[in-house]
Amino acid sequence: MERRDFIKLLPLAFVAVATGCRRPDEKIVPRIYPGSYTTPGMPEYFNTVYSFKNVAYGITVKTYEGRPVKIDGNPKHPLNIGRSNAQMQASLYSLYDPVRFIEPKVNGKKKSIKETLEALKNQIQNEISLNNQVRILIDEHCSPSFASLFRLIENDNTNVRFITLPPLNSDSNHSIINKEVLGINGVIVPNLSKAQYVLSFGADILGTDKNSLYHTIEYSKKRGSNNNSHNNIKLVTLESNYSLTGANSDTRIVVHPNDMEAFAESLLYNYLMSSGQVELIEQYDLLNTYDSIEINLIAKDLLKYIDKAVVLSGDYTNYRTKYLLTALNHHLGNIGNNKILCTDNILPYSNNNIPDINTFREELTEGKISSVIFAGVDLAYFGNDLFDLITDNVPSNNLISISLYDSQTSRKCSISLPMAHFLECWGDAVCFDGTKTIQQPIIKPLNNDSIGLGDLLINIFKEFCNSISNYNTYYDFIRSQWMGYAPDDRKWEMALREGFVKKHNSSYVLEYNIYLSKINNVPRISSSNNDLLLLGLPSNTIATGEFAENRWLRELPDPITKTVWDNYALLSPTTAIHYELKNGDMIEVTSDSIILVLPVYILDGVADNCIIASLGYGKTQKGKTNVFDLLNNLNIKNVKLNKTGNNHKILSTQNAEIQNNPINKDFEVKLQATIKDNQNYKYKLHHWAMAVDLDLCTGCSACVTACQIENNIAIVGRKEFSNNRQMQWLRIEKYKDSNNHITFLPIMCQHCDNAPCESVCPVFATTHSPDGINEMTYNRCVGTRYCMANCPYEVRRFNYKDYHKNETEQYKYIYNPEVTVRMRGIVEKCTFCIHKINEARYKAKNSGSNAISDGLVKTACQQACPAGAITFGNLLDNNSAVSIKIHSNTSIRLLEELNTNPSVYYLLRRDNCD
Amino acid sequence: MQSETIDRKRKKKIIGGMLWLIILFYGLYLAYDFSFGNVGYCPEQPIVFSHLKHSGDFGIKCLYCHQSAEISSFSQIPTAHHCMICHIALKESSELVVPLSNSYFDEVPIQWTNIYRLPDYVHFNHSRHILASVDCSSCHGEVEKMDSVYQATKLNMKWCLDCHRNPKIFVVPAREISGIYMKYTDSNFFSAISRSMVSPAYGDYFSELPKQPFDWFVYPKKPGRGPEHCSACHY
Repeated sequence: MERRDFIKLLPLAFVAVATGCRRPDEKIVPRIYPGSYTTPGMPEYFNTVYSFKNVAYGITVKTYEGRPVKIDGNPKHPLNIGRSNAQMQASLYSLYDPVRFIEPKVNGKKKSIKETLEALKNQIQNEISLNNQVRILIDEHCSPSFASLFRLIENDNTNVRFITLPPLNSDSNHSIINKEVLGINGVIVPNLSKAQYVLSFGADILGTDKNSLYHTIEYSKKRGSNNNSHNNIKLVTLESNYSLTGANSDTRIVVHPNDMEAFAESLLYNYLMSSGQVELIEQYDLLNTYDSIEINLIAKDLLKYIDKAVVLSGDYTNYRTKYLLTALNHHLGNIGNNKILCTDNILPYSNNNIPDINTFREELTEGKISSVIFAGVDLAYFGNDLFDLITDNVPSNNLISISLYDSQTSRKCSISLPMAHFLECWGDAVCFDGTKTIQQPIIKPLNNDSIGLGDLLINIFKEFCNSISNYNTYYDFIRSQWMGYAPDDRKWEMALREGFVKKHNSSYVLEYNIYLSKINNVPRISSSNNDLLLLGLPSNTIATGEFAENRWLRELPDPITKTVWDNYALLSPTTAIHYELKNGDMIEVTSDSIILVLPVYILDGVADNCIIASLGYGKTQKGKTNVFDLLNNLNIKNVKLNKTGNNHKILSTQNAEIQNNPINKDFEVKLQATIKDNQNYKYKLHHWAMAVDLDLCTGCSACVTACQIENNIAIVGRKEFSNNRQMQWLRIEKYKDSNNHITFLPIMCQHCDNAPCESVCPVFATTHSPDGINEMTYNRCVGTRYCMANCPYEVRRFNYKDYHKNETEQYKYIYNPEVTVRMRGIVEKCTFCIHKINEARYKAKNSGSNAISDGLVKTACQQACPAGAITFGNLLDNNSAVSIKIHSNTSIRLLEELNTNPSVYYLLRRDNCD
Repeated sequence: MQSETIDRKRKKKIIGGMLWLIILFYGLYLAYDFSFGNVGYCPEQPIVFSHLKHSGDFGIKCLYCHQSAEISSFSQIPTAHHCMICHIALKESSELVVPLSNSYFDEVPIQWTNIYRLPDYVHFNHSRHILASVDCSSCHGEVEKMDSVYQATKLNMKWCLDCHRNPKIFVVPAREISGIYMKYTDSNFFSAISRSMVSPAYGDYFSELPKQPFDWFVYPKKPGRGPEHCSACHY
């Protein structure tokens, strides 16, 4: 056949092939039994608890056909009232994580869970019969059932002890002070709702603090552009690093860590001077060594706000500073029942554990310990010296680990078990205010071989412990523990349904005394602010390594530096000039012959002579980026710095140089009122709009993670990110404000009424909906990217690759079925959570009305925002929450001079600078 | 003279080319139509189930089995348990029923083959259409007359929009056989059964179902125009 004939016949071939062309068969598999309560296609919500160390919050898990797809705060929970943070949102990731530890191993060989448990039981039986010592290392927890299980096991077996090992012992420093000064065991959670003046000595209450979600909620209640009582709280921060608290404070003072003590001492001196208690100065042996105007101002403010002011000390203040600040708090009169530092609000099980650890060390060196169980503790990662002590003194056959991931510790253990995720097993938790919550499993363990810690302990110790011998599973144990609250099944189910048990008002008051007389015995630590220090602080995103495997959080830009994926060393510009360093230069940080290699990131606003690095890195990828190695459970260490000459590109979403806030210019444009409103669209029923209150936004980035999970936004990975191919629809930009502080500006699609993107699309893939939404139709998009080029807000994202195709089958369970998973070659952007709007529309129409009532639609970012900064609703309804916010004086829109008519409004930030 | 022949030749070429293009596009259209449109698609199902018998002869309402169509986006296939409500004591030894009872007692779910399938980027909500009084047969054809079910409509976007724009011409209003608003005039009864279907033992929905639903619908109600903007279905 000739070529021409072939082409002539080609169409007929098409017809022939087409008639035989069938799409592949797809199966629908119904259930056999109606199931108790699953309707296909409808989400179901279950209340349970999320606990991070000894802090617990109520959560509501959204499930589709039995698989969890989203975690949000439980709206009824008294502590977090439906709000969440980035870590809580992203904790879902580890449930479906493709690299989760799934195979139990005995001596390096894969075994089934039954065989492994058998081996473990034999070993423990052996140890107990030989009267050998067994130690179980646990992380901080807040579960009353765990606590009583540990107690029962310890009581029945004198050779078994549980030791709490948090990555940082800073909390125990607080608890040492509390023990010595107040006579109470544990860490007090300050109640900011009673405070009007907060002075933070490096306490990152809005950022990396464990209770930051609670503090952010309390703080936000007192702020907000529409809040009449705006001057209700003033936040003053002293810090060496640049924390979120510092960025949000009204006054921020940069102090070298070694100067903190002198500052605190002089402040106490000045306060006592001005309040006329001169005799105490001599009694406390105080010196006024730190000379600064700010101290006088703060002392005056403290006097003004007496008994409404509180001083908080952070992780990296030393022992004496904490002592001095407790004295200051005492003189401000805010320690006690119903005060800011309420002696009832104590973090559960936060008592001082340093004596236990020290005894454990002694016993190890004496060779008394025979077996060690690492229960969810990756000690090899964060406590190198203690782990080496264990491996040296304990036979390597007797190391047992149970963990969620195949960690450095589990690889060195003879028996390693995969741990069940918290959405897979029973448990309970108590919050510091006394609210108790049951942790119910939402899904059967995805991997049959994983086991919860409670189940494991019941399994092992059932035969050696009489008091737990009648429990078969941990569920039975929890049920018996909750008999007091829920004697019958009805009350038990009510507790599960509500998600918490209301705190009953007890007349129980903690007794405390104040022993300040010893204050002059505490030695003054004299150190110079010329020492070069390494300051290791928890990361804003991955905490102290608990979320290091979480790719959502690894790709979440750090709120302050906007960097992703990697660790870095923060330096001040002066220090960088002194060592002749540029952004991205690799440096070697050396102490005690341990070397840390980090890229430099220069940030104006951190203390001089300070290297600030994040803890939590260096877990998943090899390299000398693990700050724990060098610090050994402390926060601060004197180090030496060398330049290596290498370079490393720090991935970030924004330039290192911080620009001035463009918002102020927009506000001027609004005041001049030179723009004519060219409204082309006439909306009938709804005009969806959003108001972002910048006075409330703390920049914590919970919204970014929530948006990413809700809308199936791809994780692009380090390599693609380095090509600027990030996919997050919502980004938070940082700018300088008039005081040279960092402020935040969350930017999502502005849903302009005169959208520049709509007019340039050649295929009408982006259009305007009758209710004011700038729609993006993925199946029409051909990827010309004209819209991206024409968008002045740079909010559109292009899929350069099929990012979702590389994900494993198990990971794909995480996708929200309401939102299309986008393919390569198309543009996507924020949709104002159109699936939620449509769902609300269906609900409204199904009940016979066309109008969607205010508050029925909550976008993912709005739902997550811990400060409640985001409001969403109908602009045509004058009584809606969003209308009230938008019609305030301080509302502006971005780049108003372009006449794009955005539907997103921003309310200006105000500082308390009286 | 010479130029005329060239013109004629050119004309022939153009006409030939156009014909070729027309056949090519027709072929492509057919390929599209058969792979996505798929009208008449009638796969073999694991159990020989006759809608003609159950629905046509016995008059079982559509919504009796496909319950979730009223409340959910997805219209469920009944569980084996649902079938066994009758078949535990009815025709239980028939060779057509044996695979069902085997599935029920052995706890092996039946794998039905999906007939009506929309692309993943189209979001269709059954409950919204049912509660707007659109009869099942508007999209699925008269299933009660089908022995084995086949795809009756094209399910392409033009077909969707035809109905959304001209409901009076294309939409079949609710019929008795569908079970839409027939038995459920008593609002309490409806809310009672829907509650048992949607309220889980341990969970809770954010918003409750209306206390007195659907009282204002007068049967048979004429469905109104549907939305036509992109994000009504594509998001």
